[in-house]
Amino acid sequence: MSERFPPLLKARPWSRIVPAAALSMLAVVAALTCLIDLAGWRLTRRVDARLAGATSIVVWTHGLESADAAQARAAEILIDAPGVRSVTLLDPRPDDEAIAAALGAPKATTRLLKLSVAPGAAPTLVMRLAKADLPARASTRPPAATGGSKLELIGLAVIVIALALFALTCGIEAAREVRRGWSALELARLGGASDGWLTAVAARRTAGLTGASLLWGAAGALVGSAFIATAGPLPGLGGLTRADIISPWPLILVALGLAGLAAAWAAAASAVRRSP
Amino acid sequence: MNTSPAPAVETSAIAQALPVVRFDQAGRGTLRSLSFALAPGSFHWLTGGPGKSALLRLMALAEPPAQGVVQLFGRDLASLSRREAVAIRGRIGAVLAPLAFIDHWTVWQNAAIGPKVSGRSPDEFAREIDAVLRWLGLAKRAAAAPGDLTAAERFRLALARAAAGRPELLLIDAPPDGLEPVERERIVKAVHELNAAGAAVLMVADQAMLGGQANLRLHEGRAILTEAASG
Repeated sequence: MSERFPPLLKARPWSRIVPAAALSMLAVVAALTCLIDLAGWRLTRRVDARLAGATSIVVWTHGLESADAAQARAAEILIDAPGVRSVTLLDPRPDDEAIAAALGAPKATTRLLKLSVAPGAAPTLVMRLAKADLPARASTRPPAATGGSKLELIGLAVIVIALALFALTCGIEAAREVRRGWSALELARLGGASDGWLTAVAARRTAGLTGASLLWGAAGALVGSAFIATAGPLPGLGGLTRADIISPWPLILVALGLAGLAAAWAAAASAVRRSP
Repeated sequence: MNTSPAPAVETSAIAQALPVVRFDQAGRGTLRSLSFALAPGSFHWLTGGPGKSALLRLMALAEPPAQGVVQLFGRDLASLSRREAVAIRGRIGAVLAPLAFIDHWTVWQNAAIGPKVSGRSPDEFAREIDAVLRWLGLAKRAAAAPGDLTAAERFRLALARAAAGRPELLLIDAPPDGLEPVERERIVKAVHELNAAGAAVLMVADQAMLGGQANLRLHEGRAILTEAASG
Protein backbone atom coordinates (compact mmCIF):
# COMPACT_ATOMS: atom_id res chain seq x y z
CA MET A 1 0.00 0.00 0.00
CA SER A 2 1.47 3.31 -1.06
CA GLU A 3 -0.43 6.52 -1.06
CA ARG A 4 -0.18 10.25 -1.15
CA PHE A 5 0.11 11.98 2.17
CA PRO A 6 -2.33 14.78 3.03
CA PRO A 7 -0.86 17.96 4.48
CA LEU A 8 0.53 17.43 7.96
CA LEU A 9 -1.43 20.33 9.41
CA LYS A 10 -5.17 19.98 9.38
CA ALA A 11 -7.13 22.60 7.45
CA ARG A 12 -8.97 24.99 9.75
CA PRO A 13 -10.45 27.56 7.37
CA TRP A 14 -12.58 29.29 10.00
CA SER A 15 -9.58 30.05 12.15
CA ARG A 16 -7.99 31.92 9.25
CA ILE A 17 -10.84 34.22 8.27
CA VAL A 18 -9.55 37.24 10.18
CA PRO A 19 -5.99 37.12 8.83
CA ALA A 20 -7.33 36.37 5.34
CA ALA A 21 -9.61 39.43 5.51
CA ALA A 22 -6.77 41.60 6.84
CA LEU A 23 -4.36 40.44 4.14
CA SER A 24 -6.95 40.92 1.38
CA MET A 25 -7.73 44.40 2.64
CA LEU A 26 -4.07 45.34 2.72
CA ALA A 27 -3.61 44.01 -0.81
CA VAL A 28 -6.56 46.08 -2.06
CA VAL A 29 -5.28 49.20 -0.30
CA ALA A 30 -1.77 48.78 -1.68
CA ALA A 31 -2.94 48.12 -5.22
CA LEU A 32 -5.45 50.99 -5.27
CA THR A 33 -2.94 53.37 -3.73
CA CYS A 34 -0.54 52.40 -6.45
CA LEU A 35 -3.16 53.26 -9.07
CA ILE A 36 -4.08 56.58 -7.47
CA ASP A 37 -0.43 57.43 -7.03
CA LEU A 38 0.20 56.72 -10.68
CA ALA A 39 -2.68 58.96 -11.71
CA GLY A 40 -1.34 61.72 -9.46
CA TRP A 41 2.11 61.32 -10.90
CA ARG A 42 0.70 61.61 -14.42
CA LEU A 43 -1.16 64.79 -13.47
CA THR A 44 1.92 66.31 -11.89
CA ARG A 45 4.08 65.67 -14.91
CA ARG A 46 1.41 66.98 -17.29
CA VAL A 47 0.87 70.20 -15.34
CA ASP A 48 4.56 70.68 -14.78
CA ALA A 49 5.15 70.46 -18.50
CA ARG A 50 2.44 73.07 -19.09
CA LEU A 51 3.47 75.56 -16.43
CA ALA A 52 7.16 74.83 -15.89
CA GLY A 53 9.39 77.87 -15.24
CA ALA A 54 6.46 80.27 -15.05
CA THR A 55 4.29 82.07 -12.59
CA SER A 56 0.74 80.72 -12.66
CA ILE A 57 -2.26 82.93 -12.05
CA VAL A 58 -5.79 81.69 -11.81
CA VAL A 59 -8.90 83.84 -12.25
CA TRP A 60 -12.52 82.76 -12.10
CA THR A 61 -16.11 83.69 -12.83
CA HIS A 62 -16.87 86.79 -10.82
CA GLY A 63 -20.20 88.59 -10.68
CA LEU A 64 -21.50 88.91 -14.21
CA GLU A 65 -18.05 88.52 -15.71
CA SER A 66 -17.39 85.13 -17.29
CA ALA A 67 -14.19 83.25 -16.72
CA ASP A 68 -13.05 83.89 -20.31
CA ALA A 69 -13.70 87.62 -19.92
CA ALA A 70 -11.86 87.67 -16.59
CA GLN A 71 -8.91 85.89 -18.19
CA ALA A 72 -8.79 88.40 -21.06
CA ARG A 73 -9.08 91.41 -18.73
CA ALA A 74 -6.40 90.01 -16.44
CA ALA A 75 -4.06 89.63 -19.41
CA GLU A 76 -4.60 93.26 -20.40
CA ILE A 77 -3.86 94.44 -16.85
CA LEU A 78 -0.84 92.22 -16.32
CA ILE A 79 0.93 92.85 -19.62
CA ASP A 80 1.42 96.49 -18.59
CA ALA A 81 2.53 95.67 -15.05
CA PRO A 82 6.17 96.27 -14.07
CA GLY A 83 8.37 93.17 -14.16
CA VAL A 84 6.09 91.22 -16.48
CA ARG A 85 7.91 90.00 -19.54
CA SER A 86 5.18 87.89 -21.13
CA VAL A 87 1.62 86.68 -20.52
CA THR A 88 0.09 83.57 -22.06
CA LEU A 89 -3.62 82.74 -21.88
CA LEU A 90 -3.99 79.00 -21.41
CA ASP A 91 -6.87 77.16 -23.03
CA PRO A 92 -9.10 75.42 -20.51
CA ARG A 93 -8.34 71.77 -19.77
CA PRO A 94 -9.83 69.19 -17.41
CA ASP A 95 -6.74 69.47 -15.19
CA ASP A 96 -7.45 73.15 -14.51
CA GLU A 97 -9.91 72.35 -11.75
CA ALA A 98 -7.25 70.56 -9.73
CA ILE A 99 -4.67 73.30 -10.38
CA ALA A 100 -7.09 76.06 -9.39
CA ALA A 101 -7.96 74.18 -6.20
CA ALA A 102 -4.26 73.79 -5.41
CA LEU A 103 -3.79 77.57 -5.87
CA GLY A 104 -6.68 78.29 -3.50
CA ALA A 105 -9.33 79.39 -5.99
CA PRO A 106 -12.96 78.92 -5.01
CA LYS A 107 -15.08 76.25 -6.67
CA ALA A 108 -16.04 78.06 -9.87
CA THR A 109 -15.23 78.08 -13.57
CA THR A 110 -11.57 79.04 -13.70
CA ARG A 111 -9.01 80.09 -16.25
CA LEU A 112 -5.22 80.04 -16.07
CA LEU A 113 -2.58 82.49 -17.19
CA LYS A 114 1.09 81.68 -17.54
CA LEU A 115 3.45 84.57 -16.95
CA SER A 116 7.12 85.24 -17.19
CA VAL A 117 7.86 87.75 -14.45
CA ALA A 118 10.69 89.12 -12.34
CA PRO A 119 11.35 87.23 -9.10
CA GLY A 120 9.01 88.22 -6.23
CA ALA A 121 6.54 90.04 -8.45
CA ALA A 122 3.66 87.58 -8.11
CA PRO A 123 2.02 89.01 -4.93
CA THR A 124 2.10 92.52 -6.43
CA LEU A 125 0.36 91.23 -9.53
CA VAL A 126 -2.44 89.64 -7.49
CA MET A 127 -2.95 92.93 -5.62
CA ARG A 128 -2.99 94.80 -8.94
CA LEU A 129 -5.75 92.49 -10.20
CA ALA A 130 -7.70 92.86 -6.94
CA LYS A 131 -7.64 96.67 -7.32
CA ALA A 132 -9.25 96.13 -10.72
CA ASP A 133 -11.97 94.04 -9.00
CA LEU A 134 -10.52 90.86 -10.43
CA PRO A 135 -9.96 88.23 -7.72
CA ALA A 136 -7.01 85.94 -8.47
CA ARG A 137 -4.45 83.63 -6.93
CA ALA A 138 -0.85 83.15 -7.98
CA SER A 139 1.98 80.67 -7.52
CA THR A 140 5.57 80.86 -8.61
CA ARG A 141 5.81 77.06 -8.64
CA PRO A 142 3.77 74.80 -10.82
CA PRO A 143 0.89 74.12 -8.40
CA ALA A 144 0.69 70.49 -9.28
CA ALA A 145 4.30 70.04 -8.26
CA THR A 146 3.37 70.82 -4.67
CA GLY A 147 0.15 68.85 -4.47
CA GLY A 148 1.35 66.08 -6.71
CA SER A 149 4.56 65.53 -4.79
CA LYS A 150 2.64 65.32 -1.54
CA LEU A 151 0.23 62.86 -3.08
CA GLU A 152 3.10 60.75 -4.37
CA LEU A 153 4.81 60.74 -0.98
CA ILE A 154 1.64 59.87 0.88
CA GLY A 155 0.89 57.14 -1.62
CA LEU A 156 4.39 55.75 -1.32
CA ALA A 157 4.12 55.79 2.46
CA VAL A 158 0.77 53.97 2.33
CA ILE A 159 2.24 51.31 0.05
CA VAL A 160 5.28 50.82 2.28
CA ILE A 161 3.10 50.62 5.40
CA ALA A 162 0.74 48.16 3.69
CA LEU A 163 3.75 46.09 2.65
CA ALA A 164 5.10 46.06 6.20
CA LEU A 165 1.71 45.19 7.71
CA PHE A 166 1.18 42.47 5.12
CA ALA A 167 4.55 40.89 5.92
CA LEU A 168 3.89 41.24 9.66
CA THR A 169 0.49 39.57 9.37
CA CYS A 170 1.97 36.72 7.35
CA GLY A 171 4.69 36.28 9.95
CA ILE A 172 2.23 36.26 12.84
CA GLU A 173 0.03 33.76 11.01
CA ALA A 174 2.98 31.46 10.30
CA ALA A 175 4.00 31.52 13.97
CA ARG A 176 0.38 30.75 14.90
CA GLU A 177 0.41 27.80 12.51
CA VAL A 178 3.43 26.40 14.33
CA ARG A 179 1.75 26.85 17.71
CA ARG A 180 -1.63 25.48 16.58
CA GLY A 181 -0.15 22.47 14.83
CA TRP A 182 2.62 21.75 17.31
CA SER A 183 1.30 18.32 18.32
CA ALA A 184 1.51 17.15 14.68
CA LEU A 185 4.79 18.96 14.12
CA GLU A 186 6.27 17.37 17.24
CA LEU A 187 5.30 13.93 15.98
CA ALA A 188 7.13 14.71 12.76
CA ARG A 189 10.10 16.05 14.69
CA LEU A 190 10.33 12.95 16.86
CA GLY A 191 10.17 10.96 13.64
CA GLY A 192 13.31 12.70 12.43
CA ALA A 193 12.05 15.81 10.62
CA SER A 194 14.55 18.64 10.33
CA ASP A 195 13.87 22.24 11.34
CA GLY A 196 13.74 23.17 7.66
CA TRP A 197 11.12 20.51 6.95
CA LEU A 198 8.93 21.69 9.84
CA THR A 199 9.38 25.32 8.82
CA ALA A 200 8.35 24.49 5.27
CA VAL A 201 5.15 22.84 6.50
CA ALA A 202 4.03 25.96 8.39
CA ALA A 203 5.29 28.39 5.74
CA ARG A 204 3.49 26.47 2.98
CA ARG A 205 0.22 26.78 4.88
CA THR A 206 0.73 30.53 5.19
CA ALA A 207 1.68 30.73 1.52
CA GLY A 208 -1.72 29.33 0.62
CA LEU A 209 -3.40 31.99 2.70
CA THR A 210 -1.20 34.67 1.17
CA GLY A 211 -1.97 33.54 -2.36
CA ALA A 212 -5.72 33.51 -1.75
CA SER A 213 -5.55 36.96 -0.18
CA LEU A 214 -3.63 38.34 -3.14
CA LEU A 215 -6.29 37.01 -5.50
CA TRP A 216 -8.95 38.76 -3.44
CA GLY A 217 -6.77 41.85 -3.45
CA ALA A 218 -6.48 41.70 -7.24
CA ALA A 219 -10.24 41.40 -7.59
CA GLY A 220 -10.78 44.33 -5.24
CA ALA A 221 -8.22 46.46 -7.06
CA LEU A 222 -9.85 45.75 -10.41
CA VAL A 223 -13.25 46.82 -9.12
CA GLY A 224 -11.79 49.87 -7.42
CA SER A 225 -9.77 50.96 -10.41
CA ALA A 226 -12.78 50.62 -12.69
CA PHE A 227 -14.72 52.81 -10.26
CA ILE A 228 -11.98 55.44 -10.20
CA ALA A 229 -11.57 55.42 -13.96
CA THR A 230 -15.27 55.71 -14.77
CA ALA A 231 -17.04 57.41 -11.88
CA GLY A 232 -14.11 59.70 -11.20
CA PRO A 233 -14.40 60.16 -7.44
CA LEU A 234 -11.07 61.96 -7.48
CA PRO A 235 -11.65 64.84 -9.96
CA GLY A 236 -8.64 66.23 -11.71
CA LEU A 237 -6.48 63.18 -11.27
CA GLY A 238 -6.62 62.86 -15.00
CA GLY A 239 -8.26 59.48 -15.00
CA LEU A 240 -6.66 56.16 -15.62
CA THR A 241 -5.89 54.52 -18.90
CA ARG A 242 -6.46 50.86 -19.58
CA ALA A 243 -2.73 50.36 -19.31
CA ASP A 244 -2.79 51.84 -15.81
CA ILE A 245 -5.44 49.38 -14.75
CA ILE A 246 -3.46 46.35 -15.79
CA SER A 247 0.18 47.35 -15.46
CA PRO A 248 1.46 48.73 -12.16
CA TRP A 249 -0.48 47.13 -9.33
CA PRO A 250 0.31 43.49 -10.13
CA LEU A 251 3.90 44.37 -9.33
CA ILE A 252 2.78 45.63 -5.95
CA LEU A 253 0.90 42.36 -5.37
CA VAL A 254 4.01 40.40 -6.34
CA ALA A 255 6.02 42.49 -3.88
CA LEU A 256 3.41 41.85 -1.19
CA GLY A 257 3.52 38.13 -1.91
CA LEU A 258 7.31 37.96 -1.74
CA ALA A 259 7.43 40.00 1.45
CA GLY A 260 4.69 37.85 2.98
CA LEU A 261 6.41 34.59 2.10
CA ALA A 262 9.76 35.81 3.41
CA ALA A 263 8.18 36.94 6.67
CA ALA A 264 6.20 33.69 7.00
CA TRP A 265 9.33 31.60 6.51
CA ALA A 266 11.33 33.67 8.98
CA ALA A 267 8.60 33.59 11.62
CA ALA A 268 7.95 29.86 11.21
CA ALA A 269 11.68 29.12 11.39
CA SER A 270 11.96 31.21 14.53
CA ALA A 271 8.96 29.48 16.13
CA VAL A 272 10.38 26.05 15.30
CA ARG A 273 13.79 26.98 16.68
CA ARG A 274 12.25 28.30 19.88
CA SER A 275 10.63 24.91 20.46
CA PRO A 276 12.49 22.55 22.81
CA MET B 1 7.96 -12.04 14.24
CA ASN B 2 7.68 -13.68 10.90
CA THR B 3 7.99 -10.74 8.54
CA SER B 4 10.65 -8.92 10.39
CA PRO B 5 10.41 -5.15 10.02
CA ALA B 6 13.02 -4.70 12.66
CA PRO B 7 16.24 -3.29 11.42
CA ALA B 8 19.46 -5.04 10.90
CA VAL B 9 21.05 -2.55 13.25
CA GLU B 10 24.44 -1.40 12.09
CA THR B 11 26.39 -0.42 15.13
CA SER B 12 29.93 0.77 14.78
CA ALA B 13 32.69 -0.39 17.09
CA ILE B 14 32.49 2.89 18.93
CA ALA B 15 28.74 2.68 19.34
CA GLN B 16 29.04 -0.87 20.66
CA ALA B 17 31.59 0.24 23.21
CA LEU B 18 29.57 3.22 24.40
CA PRO B 19 26.23 3.09 26.17
CA VAL B 20 23.31 4.20 24.00
CA VAL B 21 22.17 6.38 26.88
CA ARG B 22 24.16 7.86 29.71
CA PHE B 23 22.78 10.23 32.32
CA ASP B 24 25.24 11.96 34.64
CA GLN B 25 23.63 14.05 37.36
CA ALA B 26 21.01 15.03 34.78
CA GLY B 27 17.42 16.04 35.35
CA ARG B 28 14.50 18.29 34.73
CA GLY B 29 11.49 19.15 36.85
CA THR B 30 10.76 16.33 39.27
CA LEU B 31 13.73 14.35 38.01
CA ARG B 32 16.84 15.17 40.01
CA SER B 33 20.40 14.15 39.32
CA LEU B 34 19.76 10.95 37.42
CA SER B 35 22.85 8.86 36.77
CA PHE B 36 22.70 5.64 34.80
CA ALA B 37 23.77 4.12 31.50
CA LEU B 38 22.03 1.69 29.15
CA ALA B 39 24.07 -0.62 26.96
CA PRO B 40 23.40 -1.18 23.26
CA GLY B 41 20.90 -3.98 22.68
CA SER B 42 19.86 -4.07 26.35
CA PHE B 43 16.31 -4.31 27.65
CA HIS B 44 15.26 -2.37 30.73
CA TRP B 45 11.96 -2.00 32.43
CA LEU B 46 11.35 1.44 33.86
CA THR B 47 9.40 1.54 37.10
CA GLY B 48 8.80 3.72 40.12
CA GLY B 49 7.99 7.33 39.63
CA PRO B 50 6.73 9.85 39.23
CA GLY B 51 8.72 11.11 36.27
CA LYS B 52 8.85 8.04 34.05
CA SER B 53 7.14 9.76 31.12
CA ALA B 54 9.26 12.86 31.67
CA LEU B 55 12.39 10.72 31.56
CA LEU B 56 11.31 9.17 28.27
CA ARG B 57 10.66 12.64 26.83
CA LEU B 58 14.17 13.71 27.87
CA MET B 59 15.68 10.67 26.22
CA ALA B 60 13.59 11.14 23.05
CA LEU B 61 14.92 14.72 22.75
CA ALA B 62 11.38 16.04 23.08
CA GLU B 63 12.68 18.28 25.86
CA PRO B 64 16.18 19.31 26.87
CA PRO B 65 17.63 18.45 30.28
CA ALA B 66 17.75 21.36 32.71
CA GLN B 67 20.91 20.15 34.41
CA GLY B 68 23.68 17.60 34.21
CA VAL B 69 25.00 15.66 31.26
CA VAL B 70 22.94 13.46 28.94
CA GLN B 71 24.67 11.45 26.27
CA LEU B 72 22.93 9.58 23.48
CA PHE B 73 24.99 7.27 21.27
CA GLY B 74 28.10 8.79 22.81
CA ARG B 75 27.13 12.38 21.97
CA ASP B 76 26.59 15.00 24.64
CA LEU B 77 23.21 16.64 24.03
CA ALA B 78 24.51 20.01 25.17
CA SER B 79 27.01 20.09 22.32
CA LEU B 80 24.63 18.88 19.61
CA SER B 81 23.70 21.22 16.79
CA ARG B 82 20.07 21.13 15.73
CA ARG B 83 21.06 19.21 12.61
CA GLU B 84 22.89 16.63 14.72
CA ALA B 85 19.87 16.38 17.03
CA VAL B 86 17.75 15.51 14.00
CA ALA B 87 20.15 12.69 13.15
CA ILE B 88 20.04 11.42 16.75
CA ARG B 89 16.22 11.50 16.78
CA GLY B 90 16.23 9.40 13.63
CA ARG B 91 17.96 6.63 15.64
CA ILE B 92 15.34 6.66 18.38
CA GLY B 93 11.82 5.24 18.30
CA ALA B 94 9.48 6.55 20.95
CA VAL B 95 6.02 5.65 22.16
CA LEU B 96 5.26 8.55 24.45
CA ALA B 97 2.19 9.10 26.60
CA PRO B 98 -0.34 10.40 25.96
CA LEU B 99 -0.44 8.69 22.60
CA ALA B 100 -0.74 11.23 19.84
CA PHE B 101 -1.51 10.73 16.17
CA ILE B 102 -2.23 12.84 13.15
CA ASP B 103 -5.96 12.37 13.19
CA HIS B 104 -6.61 13.23 9.55
CA TRP B 105 -4.02 10.70 8.35
CA THR B 106 -4.74 7.01 8.02
CA VAL B 107 -3.18 4.31 10.17
CA TRP B 108 -0.76 3.51 7.33
CA GLN B 109 0.26 7.13 6.94
CA ASN B 110 0.74 7.56 10.69
CA ALA B 111 2.95 4.49 10.82
CA ALA B 112 5.02 5.91 7.94
CA ILE B 113 5.65 9.36 9.37
CA GLY B 114 9.31 8.64 10.20
CA PRO B 115 10.37 7.55 6.71
CA LYS B 116 8.11 10.22 5.22
CA VAL B 117 9.69 13.15 7.07
CA SER B 118 13.19 11.82 6.44
CA GLY B 119 12.60 12.58 2.76
CA ARG B 120 12.26 9.04 1.41
CA SER B 121 9.83 8.31 -1.39
CA PRO B 122 6.67 6.41 -0.36
CA ASP B 123 7.53 3.84 -3.01
CA GLU B 124 10.73 3.08 -1.11
CA PHE B 125 9.21 2.50 2.31
CA ALA B 126 5.74 1.23 1.40
CA ARG B 127 6.68 -2.43 1.75
CA GLU B 128 8.39 -1.82 5.09
CA ILE B 129 5.28 -0.12 6.46
CA ASP B 130 3.05 -2.86 5.11
CA ALA B 131 5.26 -5.42 6.85
CA VAL B 132 5.27 -3.55 10.17
CA LEU B 133 1.49 -3.22 10.14
CA ARG B 134 1.08 -6.90 9.26
CA TRP B 135 3.43 -7.87 12.05
CA LEU B 136 1.45 -5.84 14.60
CA GLY B 137 -1.93 -7.01 13.34
CA LEU B 138 -2.95 -3.67 11.85
CA ALA B 139 -2.86 -4.50 8.13
CA LYS B 140 -6.64 -4.66 7.86
CA ARG B 141 -6.92 -1.33 9.65
CA ALA B 142 -4.39 0.43 7.41
CA ALA B 143 -6.97 2.70 5.80
CA ALA B 144 -8.76 3.51 9.03
CA ALA B 145 -8.38 6.72 10.99
CA PRO B 146 -6.51 6.48 14.31
CA GLY B 147 -9.63 7.63 16.08
CA ASP B 148 -11.45 4.51 14.94
CA LEU B 149 -8.97 2.15 16.60
CA THR B 150 -9.31 0.45 19.96
CA ALA B 151 -6.94 1.42 22.77
CA ALA B 152 -4.83 -1.65 22.13
CA GLU B 153 -4.69 -0.97 18.40
CA ARG B 154 -3.69 2.62 19.02
CA PHE B 155 -0.81 1.47 21.18
CA ARG B 156 0.26 -1.00 18.53
CA LEU B 157 0.06 1.77 15.95
CA ALA B 158 2.34 3.93 18.07
CA LEU B 159 4.71 0.97 18.33
CA ALA B 160 4.55 0.47 14.56
CA ARG B 161 5.41 4.14 14.04
CA ALA B 162 8.39 3.84 16.39
CA ALA B 163 9.58 0.59 14.81
CA ALA B 164 9.23 1.86 11.24
CA GLY B 165 12.08 4.29 11.77
CA ARG B 166 14.51 1.37 12.28
CA PRO B 167 15.51 2.64 15.73
CA GLU B 168 18.58 1.68 17.70
CA LEU B 169 16.90 2.81 20.91
CA LEU B 170 13.23 2.23 21.70
CA LEU B 171 11.56 4.25 24.44
CA ILE B 172 8.11 2.97 25.29
CA ASP B 173 5.66 4.34 27.79
CA ALA B 174 3.25 2.03 29.59
CA PRO B 175 0.30 0.60 27.67
CA PRO B 176 -2.99 2.17 28.75
CA ASP B 177 -4.84 0.77 31.74
CA GLY B 178 -7.63 -1.67 31.09
CA LEU B 179 -5.99 -3.63 28.29
CA GLU B 180 -6.75 -7.33 28.14
CA PRO B 181 -3.84 -9.45 29.40
CA VAL B 182 -3.56 -11.02 25.98
CA GLU B 183 -3.12 -7.58 24.43
CA ARG B 184 -0.43 -6.67 26.97
CA GLU B 185 1.37 -9.91 26.25
CA ARG B 186 1.18 -9.23 22.54
CA ILE B 187 2.71 -5.78 22.99
CA VAL B 188 5.47 -7.03 25.29
CA LYS B 189 6.23 -9.88 22.88
CA ALA B 190 6.54 -7.42 20.01
CA VAL B 191 8.86 -5.21 22.04
CA HIS B 192 11.02 -8.21 22.93
CA GLU B 193 11.22 -9.08 19.24
CA LEU B 194 12.42 -5.60 18.43
CA ASN B 195 14.99 -5.91 21.20
CA ALA B 196 16.09 -9.26 19.84
CA ALA B 197 16.61 -7.60 16.47
CA GLY B 198 19.17 -5.30 18.07
CA ALA B 199 17.36 -2.26 19.47
CA ALA B 200 18.04 -1.22 23.06
CA VAL B 201 14.72 -0.92 24.87
CA LEU B 202 13.55 1.08 27.86
CA MET B 203 9.89 0.40 28.59
CA VAL B 204 7.71 1.68 31.36
CA ALA B 205 6.15 -1.30 33.08
CA ASP B 206 3.67 -2.12 35.77
CA GLN B 207 4.00 -4.99 38.19
CA ALA B 208 1.88 -7.26 36.00
CA MET B 209 4.51 -7.05 33.30
CA LEU B 210 7.50 -7.38 35.58
CA GLY B 211 6.62 -10.21 37.79
CA GLY B 212 8.32 -8.32 40.60
CA GLN B 213 11.55 -7.55 38.78
CA ALA B 214 12.67 -4.03 37.94
CA ASN B 215 15.70 -2.79 36.09
CA LEU B 216 15.62 0.97 36.18
CA ARG B 217 13.59 2.39 39.05
CA LEU B 218 12.85 6.04 39.67
CA HIS B 219 12.68 6.86 43.35
CA GLU B 220 12.17 10.38 44.65
CA GLY B 221 13.48 11.83 41.42
CA ARG B 222 16.59 9.64 41.35
CA ALA B 223 17.35 6.59 39.24
CA ILE B 224 18.27 3.21 40.67
CA LEU B 225 19.59 0.75 38.14
CA THR B 226 18.97 -2.48 40.01
CA GLU B 227 19.55 -5.03 37.34
CA ALA B 228 20.13 -4.94 33.60
CA ALA B 229 18.75 -7.86 31.72
CA SER B 230 20.75 -8.64 28.64
CA GLY B 231 19.10 -8.17 25.33
